[in-house]
Amino acid sequence: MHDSQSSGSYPRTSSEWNSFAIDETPSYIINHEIFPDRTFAQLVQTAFSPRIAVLATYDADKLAYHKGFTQGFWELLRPFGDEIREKIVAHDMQGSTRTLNNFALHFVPFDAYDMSVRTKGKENSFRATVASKHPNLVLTTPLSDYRFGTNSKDVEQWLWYLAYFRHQDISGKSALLYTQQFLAGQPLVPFETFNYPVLNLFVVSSHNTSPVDALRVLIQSTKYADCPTFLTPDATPRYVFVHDEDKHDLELSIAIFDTMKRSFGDNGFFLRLHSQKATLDYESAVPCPRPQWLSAQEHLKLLQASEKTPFCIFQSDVQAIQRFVTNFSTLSVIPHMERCVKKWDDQYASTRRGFTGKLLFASKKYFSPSGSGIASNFRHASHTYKRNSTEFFMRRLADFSFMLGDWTHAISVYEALIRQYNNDQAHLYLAAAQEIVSIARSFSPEDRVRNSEKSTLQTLQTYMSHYTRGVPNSHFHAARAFLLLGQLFGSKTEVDIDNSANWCTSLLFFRRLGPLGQAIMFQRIANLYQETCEKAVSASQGAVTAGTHRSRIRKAAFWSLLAAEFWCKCRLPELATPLFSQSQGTYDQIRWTSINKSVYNVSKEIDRLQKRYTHSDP
Amino acid sequence: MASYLAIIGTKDNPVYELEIIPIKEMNEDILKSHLHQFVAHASLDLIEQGQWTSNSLYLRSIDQFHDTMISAFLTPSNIKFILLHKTKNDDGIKLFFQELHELYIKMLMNPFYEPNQPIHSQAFDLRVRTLAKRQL
Repeated sequence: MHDSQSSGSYPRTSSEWNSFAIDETPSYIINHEIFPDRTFAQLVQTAFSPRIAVLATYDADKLAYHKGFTQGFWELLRPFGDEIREKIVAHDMQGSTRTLNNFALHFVPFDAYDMSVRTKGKENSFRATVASKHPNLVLTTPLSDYRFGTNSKDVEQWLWYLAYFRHQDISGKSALLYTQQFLAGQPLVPFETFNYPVLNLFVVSSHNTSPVDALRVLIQSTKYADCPTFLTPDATPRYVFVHDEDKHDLELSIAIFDTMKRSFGDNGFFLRLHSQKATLDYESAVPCPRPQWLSAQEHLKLLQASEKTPFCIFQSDVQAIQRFVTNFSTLSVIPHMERCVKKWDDQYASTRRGFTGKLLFASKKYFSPSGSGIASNFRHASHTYKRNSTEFFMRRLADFSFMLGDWTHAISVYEALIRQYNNDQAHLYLAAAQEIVSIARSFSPEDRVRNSEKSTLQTLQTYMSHYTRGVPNSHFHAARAFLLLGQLFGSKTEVDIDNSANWCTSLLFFRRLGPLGQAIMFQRIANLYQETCEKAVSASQGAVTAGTHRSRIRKAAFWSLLAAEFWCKCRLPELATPLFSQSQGTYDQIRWTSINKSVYNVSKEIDRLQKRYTHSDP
Repeated sequence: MASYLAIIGTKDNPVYELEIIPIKEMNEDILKSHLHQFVAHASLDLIEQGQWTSNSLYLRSIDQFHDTMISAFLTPSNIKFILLHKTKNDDGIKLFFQELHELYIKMLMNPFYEPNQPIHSQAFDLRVRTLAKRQL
């Protein structure tokens, strides 16, 4: 149907195909469960979870390194933050409690926030400066290479490999997987504060000669870090004392930990780990769980590494870390966030809310001499708000409420912010806030204000344009907003699906997502329509009443055909075939020459691709 | 103003099609013009849904595909007139459909024309084109 405009790194010619390095399915793809079954709501709530910055001492990093975690202690904690098994209870503004079902913690190495290696060079980087003042406190070079942000080409390539090797498994979940990769690699930006650390976690182990002093110096050393201007590095510190089970005395460690608690307060946790590297020979060794939020680049690296033996860890370590993460969430993270919410709400938000808030706002706008307000904190040149401005705190307040699940409060603060952003012409901030508001509205059960769908669609489209057409623009965020909102339009009624379909048609005209993303979204629409057809068929078998027989057979056929064609463009005929046969059923019944010709062309394309790229599943 | 008119019969078969492309816009949108048939066909679902709720034959704007709006008119014999257009022009389109309906009725009265068959008459074509130029 369309001229071939393939881009990206899928094999395009047969010579490229033959030089394709992977002859058989990599063990990494066969052996590991790709991703758990999740609904879209769960995915989004888990994605927008608190980030915890981890900074470990030299000995703690070495401990983790010996256990096999080459990226340091952070990597040890990472998989266990993904899913917190126990019940997490949060209190909202009115004091009522709420269970959080999808709470997770994203552990991030502190070095990801620090830009000193790039700005000041390796000699003057954060770690080098600290090491020069206090030798042997931290490693001079960071072990981890975690970076915020992701390249959409990497996402496309990774999903392509997945689709190629496991197409039966992902056909139902491809939209979720694609969105997840986008959510896993969110960049660090001034206009969205979900990525900022909620707490700093400092790790000291019992191998350290003077753990209490080391911890004190470590906590103070964060001031040497060169963080981006919109970020403050001084999140509240929490610490972990790691006790080495194999080498050190438990009573001594407990004594040291008590000293720590006396000096630093009760914000500490005691963690008992084995320092010996676990292999399968040990009885209680289990394969280490894989973190669910690996970015696309990390997935691709794993693909090329193709490890032979599974990576193991002791069962007792697993339980200890899980217990630590649960305690950390319930005793530290949630109370801290609740306290911050209360404090900031009193300080900043309550003045802006409600009738008095609007009055204050209106008076500022109309009675100030210049149009942009008397004391606007927004700097147009760099398109950022000042670091400790009201808007900064209000945004963080709203984000914390969002993460704690208090949707109504979050929505009210976001709306106050939207008014402010509109006034200041901060369009990226505005777009980000509007996006999150739409998401929060869809989660909140009371706030399902169903404005007329057309107006919602139009407002969404206007602020999509904020993301892309403003002077500093963010295509990543535009793509992410596209994905999130496209799937938010739910699959309950036909009108919702029609809106969703309309949202996706803009994919044909604007290159928001790569070719794989387009195919995935079209397939999703096709599946939604197909489901309504099947529902209508089964409903009509019971009782036939005129006027309620609603089905979208033709729409389903159209979208199936579009999706099949786009899968062909991605050189994945196996995924195109079932969709094509769905549409063929409808289109064969009509006699419309141009349509029949187009359908025939698509079928020829699928046959041609299948013959060319014969691929046998292992 | 670019638009596409299709008269679709009772079995989803096209009875008459017309692409109206003004000379100025000849170079734009040619790539996507083949989608028009698919879009028109897909919107038949919405016509079938909307016909039970509307009292009049003119069903107004029933669907949207990106920036193209789709208006429809349903004759008593279940023939659908579908118009794909970019600009909103409710009154003009309503008049257009009504006059098109009259032209169609005259076509039906021709004993050599069987209903539901494609219309090949050049006179009909010419009349529709002039009507389109006048109203749209």
